[in-house]
Amino acid sequence: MASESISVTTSDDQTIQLSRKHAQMSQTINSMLEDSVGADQEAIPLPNVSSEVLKKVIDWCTHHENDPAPVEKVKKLNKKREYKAKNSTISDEWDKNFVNAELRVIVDILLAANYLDVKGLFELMCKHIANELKGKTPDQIRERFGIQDDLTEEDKAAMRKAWGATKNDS
Amino acid sequence: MEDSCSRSETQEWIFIRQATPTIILLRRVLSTSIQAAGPSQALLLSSVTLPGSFKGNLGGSSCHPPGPWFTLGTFFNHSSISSQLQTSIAFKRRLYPPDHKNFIRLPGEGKSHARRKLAWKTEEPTTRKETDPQQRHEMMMTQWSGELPLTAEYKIYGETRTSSFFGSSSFIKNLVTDVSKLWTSISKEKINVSRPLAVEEGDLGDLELLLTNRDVLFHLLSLLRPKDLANLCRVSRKMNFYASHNYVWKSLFDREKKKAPRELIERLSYRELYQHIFRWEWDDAKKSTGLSLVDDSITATRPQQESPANPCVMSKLPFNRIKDSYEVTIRNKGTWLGIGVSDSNLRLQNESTLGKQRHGFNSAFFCQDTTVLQTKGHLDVQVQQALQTGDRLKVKIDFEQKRVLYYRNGKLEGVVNSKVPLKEGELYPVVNLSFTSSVSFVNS
Repeated sequence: MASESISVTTSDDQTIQLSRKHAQMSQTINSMLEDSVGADQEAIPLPNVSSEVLKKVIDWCTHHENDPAPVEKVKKLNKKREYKAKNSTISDEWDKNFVNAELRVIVDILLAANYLDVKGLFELMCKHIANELKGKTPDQIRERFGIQDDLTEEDKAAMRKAWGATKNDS
Repeated sequence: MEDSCSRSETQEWIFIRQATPTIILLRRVLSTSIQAAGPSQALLLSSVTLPGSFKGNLGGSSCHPPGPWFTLGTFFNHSSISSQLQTSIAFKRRLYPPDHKNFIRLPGEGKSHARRKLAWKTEEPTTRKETDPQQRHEMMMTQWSGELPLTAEYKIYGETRTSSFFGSSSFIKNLVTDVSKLWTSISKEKINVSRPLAVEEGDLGDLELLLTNRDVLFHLLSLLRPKDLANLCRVSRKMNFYASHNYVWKSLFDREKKKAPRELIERLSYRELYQHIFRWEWDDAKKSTGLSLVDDSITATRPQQESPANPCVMSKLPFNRIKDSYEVTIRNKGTWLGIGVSDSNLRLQNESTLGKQRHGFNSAFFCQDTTVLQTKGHLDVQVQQALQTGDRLKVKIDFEQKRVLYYRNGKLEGVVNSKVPLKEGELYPVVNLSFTSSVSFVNS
């Protein structure tokens, strides 16, 4: 019988135990487990995920362990509703607190969720960053994400031509 | 339009000449053909397809066997245009088409047509065998002398080409002129839509890490609305590169395409295509003489005081359920200003201002001493705060509820209810400008 916990090795060489149920929420780990059926239970290497980020991922998995699988969710939605769902805001209060972190951490979790293929977490992180970008002026985006304005006047004129005037242009 | 069904060849040809396609038909034909075949074949396709209007105008008359006019389902290179036209003429003149095996009946054509074609096949082969091609050609040249051949010059993508055509000189000349004009306008449209800055430099700040997996970045950007992508483009060169990326706009376009017109133009990126379909611009042909359009017809201004009274300009395209709203920035308010909607009955220069005219439906957010919402001369809503330079006004049509909603800087200012149904394709954005007033569409 398969053991109830799985060992994984993170990019900073730490070995972390996680429950099989949580591990199976990651399609990447799930595939690795299926491939290694009958083999010695060695720690699964996760070279793209740090221990700090993995703990965050496990936190999220713990909270959402009883959620229906994302595939089932999608099946229930017709295309229109799916589109709406994609654009809706984050409704879960726990999720709202979860994403209330530094942007660099959010980006790390997003990349980890992508690597581990945890769909729900991936969508949550994307939605959060997209919400951070929505409705903001270029200046606000630069300030929020620490991006430098390297556009020349010619570039700006070209964009005005392509997109029309903005409030700042008036 | 000639509607005679005479079998006289001369009359038939005259009819065809009168059925010379309008620019609208050409546009429709070309937009389909460009999508299917590519630009170099579009000219030929139009000339082959043109007689389609011939059939349509006749309403399926049984007097004219449509024959090859409808059966050339294959695309040919433009070099073969002369032979195709020649074939068509020969057919009309009851000379059996030399490559008649290629002519097949298309689905939807009547049985009578099929029978007629069969009859032709049984009647004509002898004639065909007896007719020497050279002799036939000479006969045609003689009978159509003065009109054949014609050397026409046309341009595709700035490249000048010359071809010889057989056919009525005016017919071909009109055709080539129209196609040439059309290509110029299409090229112009392409040039006007600026390309994204093809520069991938600078940094993305805290999002820089996402570049380790661009699919993630693209997925994230695909969740945004066009307006947000437009703002992202203005952030930095690198952000512009990604926010303008075809992949992102393809996702956006795919999401919206069910609602979009089925008009695709080859060589436009998805971003350009999206803009092509969804952007607003003022129409030079539907403006009062006192107004000027700048910034590729996005901005309307009134530079002269001595212009006709209350000059208006309408947008090029009407509202529909996809484009059910527009937004403008007031660049200069002037002494008064009207921003609203109207149908095509609006008089572009009139004693009455926009929203006060009695012709058709017109409604406006009008600002002079006071700011009001007025429709066909009726005051609907008195707005407390006057319009200011820099304000953003949005006008939205609710086709279901028969009403026009007016927003200022994102806040609803008032609603105008219409007694008559508001129909798609009949209402246009309109502005009514005083001296120095200037208003720009916000297309994002």
